[in-house]
Amino acid sequence: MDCSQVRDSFISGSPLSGAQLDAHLAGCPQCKALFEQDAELGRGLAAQASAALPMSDALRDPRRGTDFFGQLEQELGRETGPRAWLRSRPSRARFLFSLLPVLLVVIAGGLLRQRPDFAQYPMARVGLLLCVYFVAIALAFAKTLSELPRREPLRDYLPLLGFALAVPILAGFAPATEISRHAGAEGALSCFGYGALLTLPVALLLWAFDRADKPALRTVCLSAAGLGLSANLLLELHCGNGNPTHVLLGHASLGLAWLAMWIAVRGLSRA
Amino acid sequence: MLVALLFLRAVLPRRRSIAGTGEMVSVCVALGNAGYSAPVSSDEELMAAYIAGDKAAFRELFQRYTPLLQRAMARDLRSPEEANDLVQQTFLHLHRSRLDFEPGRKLKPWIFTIALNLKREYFRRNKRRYETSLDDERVAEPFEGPRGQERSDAARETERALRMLPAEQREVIELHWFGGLSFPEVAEAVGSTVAAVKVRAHRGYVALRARLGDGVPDPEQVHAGKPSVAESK
Repeated sequence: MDCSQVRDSFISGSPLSGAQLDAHLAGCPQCKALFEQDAELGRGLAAQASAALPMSDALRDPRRGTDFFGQLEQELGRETGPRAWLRSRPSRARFLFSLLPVLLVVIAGGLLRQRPDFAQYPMARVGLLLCVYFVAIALAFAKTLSELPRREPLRDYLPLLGFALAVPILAGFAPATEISRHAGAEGALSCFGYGALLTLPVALLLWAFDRADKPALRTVCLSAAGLGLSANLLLELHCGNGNPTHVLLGHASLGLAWLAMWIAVRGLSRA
Repeated sequence: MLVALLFLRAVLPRRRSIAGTGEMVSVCVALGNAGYSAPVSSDEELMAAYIAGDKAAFRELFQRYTPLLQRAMARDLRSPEEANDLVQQTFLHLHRSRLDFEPGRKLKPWIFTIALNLKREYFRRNKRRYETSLDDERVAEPFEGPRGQERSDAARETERALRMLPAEQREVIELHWFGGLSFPEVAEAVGSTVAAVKVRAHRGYVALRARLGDGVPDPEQVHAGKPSVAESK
């Protein structure tokens, strides 16, 4: 053992111990001083840890008071019913069961009830849309439903949220077929209703799966992004109207509508 | 069929054995906290027992972790009620997430991750930052120790210096020193690498020493000008 090892271990915050270290310290006044200073700092920090912050007795020693645990038991007693069961499922299950309805919705609402000009719709575009949208939706739901590790701040998800906002709008300016290019703006409301109705079960599942009593802002934004993308994917496959106004009002606005809905849910949730 | 199997595998909780023995951990908790006694079981064994339905194991975990979590929360929050509320939410989330706890995993970093996420969320929701606690009157005012003794100036200075650290450095140091987490556990709790948290801690130590003055100098200064044994070889 040499001084550099001692210094490195000290700097890393995990000082070495053992006979070798003791032998080294006995012959090295510099390292000995280093450890004495470490102990000094450690004592200060330990004093900080045990310092009496203004706490109640029950806070200081929970074994003395049963109220704190009693309150928790009451809270746990309320953890019954379908939502309690769903939100306590393992995260992988919650993720898969939130993604499965999206797949079903896209198949039932988009592929089985195809747009009138589906025969002219480029298959490469269908494949690309399915892949890109599903990756983005899966990412949004995975981040929404993941409990661990550390939850990143919302700004870390801005690229994903930007994608969810921009791609449906861009799709409005890039109609897939000639027929859709010349359509009028009518029918936006029915498309909006169709998309909202079919993605409603997914939204309900996301709400049920959320373990927080009051959804976090990142949950609100990512859920809305995933739902908006799901609705736009199924409408792209279902609706043959490529008029930009129609797409913006009837398709792309669904993401914002779900965002508004989630914010309302968040506001209504108990603090 | 394959999809159905995958879903079943994901939905059904895995069979968990406790400490490899398959035996149920016995935890005895007397009602009313009088004569509390419990055989020594690891946190992970208790968690496995709780997942298997042993409510007494949960109570034992509560007893073990509440003081640690309360300290971790109370240091940044203005009132004990806020701290208590977050501790309670931590256990509530522990309950809701219990099926996510996998055998072989350490409980301590897992529970601290939940607690830290809740604390961050709390600060975001209330539009407060860790750093704002610098203005907290608890830092400026001398306060009494557990037995009514006035805390030493050194301890108060240490606390003040600690609070002046950037949140990410302070978090690592507090988890290590006050939470009793090893650096790999700290890394797991904050969602970073061991090397990264060590660097953060080192920067925190350097800043602490710089602020605390001569009493606690920078360790690197001790060796300044004197080559180490390895270097001199």
